[in-house]
Amino acid sequence: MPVPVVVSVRPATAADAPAIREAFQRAFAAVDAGFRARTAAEWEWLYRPQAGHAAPAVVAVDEAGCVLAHYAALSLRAEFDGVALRCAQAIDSFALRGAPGGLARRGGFGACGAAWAELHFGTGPGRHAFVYGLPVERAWRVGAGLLGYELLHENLVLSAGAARETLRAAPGLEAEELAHFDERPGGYETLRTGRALRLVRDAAYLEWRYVACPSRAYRRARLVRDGRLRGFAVWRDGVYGGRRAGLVCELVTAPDDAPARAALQAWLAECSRAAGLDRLLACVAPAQPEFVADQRLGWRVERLGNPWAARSAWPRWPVRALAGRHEPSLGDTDLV
Amino acid sequence: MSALTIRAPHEHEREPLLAFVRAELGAPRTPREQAWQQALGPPRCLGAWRGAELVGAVLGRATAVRLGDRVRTFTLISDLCVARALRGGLARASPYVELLGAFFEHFGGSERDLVHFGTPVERSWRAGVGQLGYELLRPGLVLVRALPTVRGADEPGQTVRVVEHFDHQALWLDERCCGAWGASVVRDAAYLNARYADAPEAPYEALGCFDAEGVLRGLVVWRAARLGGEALALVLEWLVPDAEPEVAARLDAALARRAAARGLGHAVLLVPPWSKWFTCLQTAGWLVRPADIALAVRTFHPRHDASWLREHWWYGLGELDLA
Repeated sequence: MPVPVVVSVRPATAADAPAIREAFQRAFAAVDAGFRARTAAEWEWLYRPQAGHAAPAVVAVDEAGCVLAHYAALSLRAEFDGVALRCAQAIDSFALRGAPGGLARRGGFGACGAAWAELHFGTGPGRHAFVYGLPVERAWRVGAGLLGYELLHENLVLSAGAARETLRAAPGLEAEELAHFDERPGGYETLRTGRALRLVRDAAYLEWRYVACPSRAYRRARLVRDGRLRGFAVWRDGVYGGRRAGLVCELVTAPDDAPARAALQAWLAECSRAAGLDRLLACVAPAQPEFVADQRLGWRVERLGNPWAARSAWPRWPVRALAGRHEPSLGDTDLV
Repeated sequence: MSALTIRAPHEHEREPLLAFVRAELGAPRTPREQAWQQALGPPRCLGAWRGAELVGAVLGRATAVRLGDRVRTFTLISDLCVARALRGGLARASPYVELLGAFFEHFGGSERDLVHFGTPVERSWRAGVGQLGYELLRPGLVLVRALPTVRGADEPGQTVRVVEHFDHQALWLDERCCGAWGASVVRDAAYLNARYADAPEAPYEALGCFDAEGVLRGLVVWRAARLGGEALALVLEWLVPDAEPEVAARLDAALARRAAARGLGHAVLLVPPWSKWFTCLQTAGWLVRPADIALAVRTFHPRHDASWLREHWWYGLGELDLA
């Protein structure tokens, strides 16, 4: 079988989408037994530039125009130290088996990753100073050696039994199910303030992420009291790190609003029980105060899934320092 | 081009070099403590001279580590210092980079020290990650329990008592524990006695759980320390076979009693998150908390890189020079 030859490494265009999707399905079906083919609608939802986000990608193609390798990242609005910026979540990156070099440094994948960084990584306008992802082990090694990945968070989740007595709302504080995030009162992005590094979870983002997604069903709820938004949560019946559970995609309240958090946790537990699931899984970084507070309510820290890798372009904020400021959620990944 | 001469010290230069380290680092250790630390394992030591003047030093100590069916050495870098006059920031040619680079070159390698590790200060991190191949092994995470909550009282047949001196049973216990670990210090009597029993000022207490036949079934070593303004019990060693939760419960209870009796508020333990005890001790009331003890590694074998070590290396506070 002749070995294909990379003839071009270039930014992907909308016209490349069918060929990238076809190569993507082949690449991941070969290595992931649980892989589910992605529909054209889902691809469109993820990659079509929309208000607030985009997904710039770089491809390596052979002389017949076939895609051999691909490196992409979701460009998302974020804030750090109260300053608006864009960060990027690396997704869907692959090299086809048999492609020259495979995932190695001099192969198409390495060339795509390096080209992506050349075009989009950095601190200048339109660039991404913070890139993160949850690579599988093999991609991690390549990324650490080639793309400057460093460990951001270990593969830890908070896990709680859905039947726990401690996951109960205080009287008078009950979450209400939500169809759309544009219902008033808004202000989702203002619940968390301060100096953390986090995605901007405003109504537009949440609507795109959890309502418009064509292939995944989410339940959404918020807590409103005295006409003011106190918090919101997003739940999904899904698989994370090989385990099926009620996945806490989002659980956002003000840091010191324990009653609101408890009420939303009660709703999340109820979602799981209604789906016949006995466990909730959530992602909270160790530096967040909720990491310890939730353990006092019976959540336990478990190892599950892949570690979080990241790259920082801020000289004063290496990845290990950002880990103490980063407020992640499971919904920050494309895995849930 | 560097004007520094970096080399191992001659015998007559060792004591001045140790004194230089104490002076530059603000004497965090007494000469006796420093000598004890250097004697814990084969010392790893380099100095930097500008002309006849000593201007920098790196100190480390190697420890025998069981790695599969071989015993290799991992080296803790305990001290890195440069004379104040030479501290020129983080430039590529900084003396920190020169010194550490020479240290790695001199002692590291696939057939020499397989891993160098430590808890560097920020300036060493910055130089190390960019120019010397440092990687973060693990952000600091510890288990913390409030004291006293005493449970699991001793039952007839098994007793927890203070171990003054370790004997051959230490290695038996270590070998019963290490089966699921990919890499771990060889915790034999020589290591444990040197590290804990013979330490200056005797700050450590070892608690052994023994069965009716007098067989050592589990071991905890701890000391009292002040961290962040709080008096804590720092657990240096937690050595309990995975299949013996009753031993763990007894040691946990004994530790709580002993530490609470000293007026300490919390106990702190570091075990890898993949350990069974990371999960089991949470069930027993320990909470996972972040801690400012990020561990850096520089490995010298591609198969045993930071990803591998993260998943396979059993280490605790006892391997570090923090307590």
